[in-house]
Amino acid sequence: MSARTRGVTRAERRLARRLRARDPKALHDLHDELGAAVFGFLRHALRDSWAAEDVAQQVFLEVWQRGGEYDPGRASPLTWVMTIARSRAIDHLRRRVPEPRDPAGAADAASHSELDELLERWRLAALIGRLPEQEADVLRRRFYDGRSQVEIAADTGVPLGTVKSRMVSGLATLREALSGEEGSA
Amino acid sequence: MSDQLLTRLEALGPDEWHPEPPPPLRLPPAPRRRRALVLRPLPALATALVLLALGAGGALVATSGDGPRGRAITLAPLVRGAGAEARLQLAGGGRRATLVASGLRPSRRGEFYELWLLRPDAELVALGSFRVGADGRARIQVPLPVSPSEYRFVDVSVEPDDGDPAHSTRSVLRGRVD
Repeated sequence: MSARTRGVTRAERRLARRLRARDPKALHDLHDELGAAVFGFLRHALRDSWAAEDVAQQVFLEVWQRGGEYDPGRASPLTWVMTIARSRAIDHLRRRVPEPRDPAGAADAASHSELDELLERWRLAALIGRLPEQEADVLRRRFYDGRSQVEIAADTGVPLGTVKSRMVSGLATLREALSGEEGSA
Repeated sequence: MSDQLLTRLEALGPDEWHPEPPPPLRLPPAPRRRRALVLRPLPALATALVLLALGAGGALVATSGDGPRGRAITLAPLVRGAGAEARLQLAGGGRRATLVASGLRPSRRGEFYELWLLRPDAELVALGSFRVGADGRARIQVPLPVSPSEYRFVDVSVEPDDGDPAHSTRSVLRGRVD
């Protein structure tokens, strides 16, 4: 992570203050916002739902224990938490081959570049999760279901102009969030 | 940037578009406040006498019956903060052992736990399998076909019920055989 500061939002400063004050609700809020992305990333990285549950718990325990160190000037909460998740995933992959058999072999099985690619997908998924549901729904129909804007308007009964404006707004929010995230990564 | 974003959106799969809810958050319990220890001469003397008597009684029990109890191996979770623990008590001159575990996740359908001995240059030895109920506890007694002192680790893994006798690599607890 670079030492340069990034644009910090008021919400991020407030979160940092609450984590420093060891406010349990701050952790619950963070879990509500990022828990699905952390769990999804870990399920794919570890290919084991059971282990993913344990490691996800470990990630948020570490967030709780290291909350006082969180500096929003260096990373967004999403980047910070996902970086912890990546580290714990690597730890788990190294450890899960029964010792004392080759402990390095497992980490190689899921290469670091594969993990980074997964991490990027789940960071984007987390950002989509923050969008207003109507905007996220239009993006989901367009980019996952492969529907055109005209078809989305027909499927949902929403006027075409509204579909277009929701898509423009959703994409603009994602671009802005990504540029902020990538500035902090 | 915009094309990159569209490409990234198109590359997302069903799981990213419809994420599964995460497991509930479990925070560690808040640390208990310590009470200051105040030593008062008379109660302290009485307590010391009681403890002395209990100690003597305990020593009699420990050395009676089948002889001294065998040593125990403590198993700790491989995932920090997982909260499970276990103890393997050796008995019968190292011919049998009892595993007492707590804090384990209740067994799911199609899965069970397995107790192993591990060593670098040898096959793993499966000692026995067990399931865990809703209370997260287990107590099993297993015969020991080999001497644990010839192995480096005692290991508990989660095994899928797929007929494959090999270790699943999903270890949850491990203890060193010193």
